[in-house]
Amino acid sequence: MESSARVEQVEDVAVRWLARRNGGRWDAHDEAEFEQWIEADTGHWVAYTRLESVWRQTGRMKLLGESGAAGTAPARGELVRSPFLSRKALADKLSPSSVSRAYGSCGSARVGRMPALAAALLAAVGLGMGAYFWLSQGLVYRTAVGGISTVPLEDGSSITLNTHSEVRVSVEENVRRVRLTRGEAFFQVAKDPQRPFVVDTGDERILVLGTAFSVRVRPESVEIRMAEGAIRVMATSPFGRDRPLADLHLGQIAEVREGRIVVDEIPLMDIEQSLSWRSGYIALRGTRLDEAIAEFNRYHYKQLVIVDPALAGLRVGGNFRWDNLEGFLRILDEGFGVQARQRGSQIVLTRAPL
Amino acid sequence: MDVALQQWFVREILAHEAALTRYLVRVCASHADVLDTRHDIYVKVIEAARKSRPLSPKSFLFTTARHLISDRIRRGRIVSIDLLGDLDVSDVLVDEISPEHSAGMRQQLTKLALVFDRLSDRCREVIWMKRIEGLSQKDIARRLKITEGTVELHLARGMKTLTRLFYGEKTAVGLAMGKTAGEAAPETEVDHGK
Repeated sequence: MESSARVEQVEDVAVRWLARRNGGRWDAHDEAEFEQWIEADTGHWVAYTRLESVWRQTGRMKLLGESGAAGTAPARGELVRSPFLSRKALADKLSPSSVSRAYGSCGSARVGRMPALAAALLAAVGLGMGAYFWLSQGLVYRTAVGGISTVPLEDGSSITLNTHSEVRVSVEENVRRVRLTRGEAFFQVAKDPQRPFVVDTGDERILVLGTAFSVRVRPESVEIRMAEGAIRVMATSPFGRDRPLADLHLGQIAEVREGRIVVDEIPLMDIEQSLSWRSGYIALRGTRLDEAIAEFNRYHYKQLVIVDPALAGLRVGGNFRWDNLEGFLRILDEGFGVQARQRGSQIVLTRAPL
Repeated sequence: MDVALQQWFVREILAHEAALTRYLVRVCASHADVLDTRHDIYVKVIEAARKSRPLSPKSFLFTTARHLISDRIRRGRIVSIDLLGDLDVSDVLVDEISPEHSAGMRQQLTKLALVFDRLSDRCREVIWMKRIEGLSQKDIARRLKITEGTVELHLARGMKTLTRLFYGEKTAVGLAMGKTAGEAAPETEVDHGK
């Protein structure tokens, strides 16, 4: 029998740390001890990071085999047969290219206006956003369809609201509380350990100590994208006891749905890209046309519609200003032979006849 | 801890572990030597990356590997070398699209589920209870009627093997289609008999 590798001993210690860090108690003292160990030797760092990357993935198996009895691992082969894996849905749901699927109909009930004109007017009044005092729950900030705006808070933090979004902010003595009631917002949080920053989306609460991330409320779920630092996501219960769901850090995206969380890690570039709305851009990269138009539709009353299902799967790429719908349509026309026709409050896309 | 560096390491370096291992298997004397050499290569890469991130992580990884190996050949620490020519970097840049880069989340999960099934029963149970059910090591020990020390042993062995299998296999697609692991790299064993 051959002798065992040196590295295995380091790995054994690394797994013990993994288990401890993910066990019940973990305090500042433990963290200090851990930091000391991992910084002591690059070999420790390498072994730990490598094992942790798979450990983290292992947590996702929860999605595949929750039906089994407690205390027993699912039978061999059961996880692989999980319907979760056969559905394309999971991967699609979390891929940055599908940033928005919903909102196709947002604003359609309102009176249609010229979007470009509306945007110009909003820009002229400054923030382009209504802010007013909301009884006992602090200030309310909201954006209209097509409005993007940044609100500086008195503690030095800032909130950037995407189109058709609303937050309620109350900065109190020992807590900074933001309720995201609609849409999507990017939070740049000033560090203040004495005053945690809490983002509330109804069923989920996000506890933050200085970091940057975005939260988007969808009808059925909440999406979180991490651009910096770390946060803790909690599920709130009607009895007031919050249950931690996951700790997220830089480069992760998460989806919370019915009290369950799915965390995925994506390249930082993709995170940046999915947050490019902050500077007024829609970033498309090999994005399906139906997803691309859903993204544009978030910003406009006038909705793009595809009639020909074959068009939906067309892949498009590029960075577009969200208010430059014409440019987007021109590229579709010139590059793909897709024609746009006005029909009432809709713009219908069809394949040009050959 | 430098989280950005950790992510870089996983994304840009560990993604090539399968290719690196295949390369090392050809030049190292034993399985243990493969693991140790690989670890040492990672350490060197990270120490360099702490100062500045290499522009092309993959070629940097294999260049580092080549340097380290030729150094060991000089010192006589590595014995079984096929040919020095094999140490050419271009020779090992085989996986054009790495699993990490190409696989979506579903593929990664499939792969994980597949390699998880290749662990021993005890390792599967212990990892499942610890990681998925969140039981303490004490509770796991009580349920399985083994000592806490043994739980720890299974956990360590399970995680080490799982990690090796996860990074050692090429892509999940081949496996999912019923093909077996292909090359018998040292990583394909289920448990190290000990």
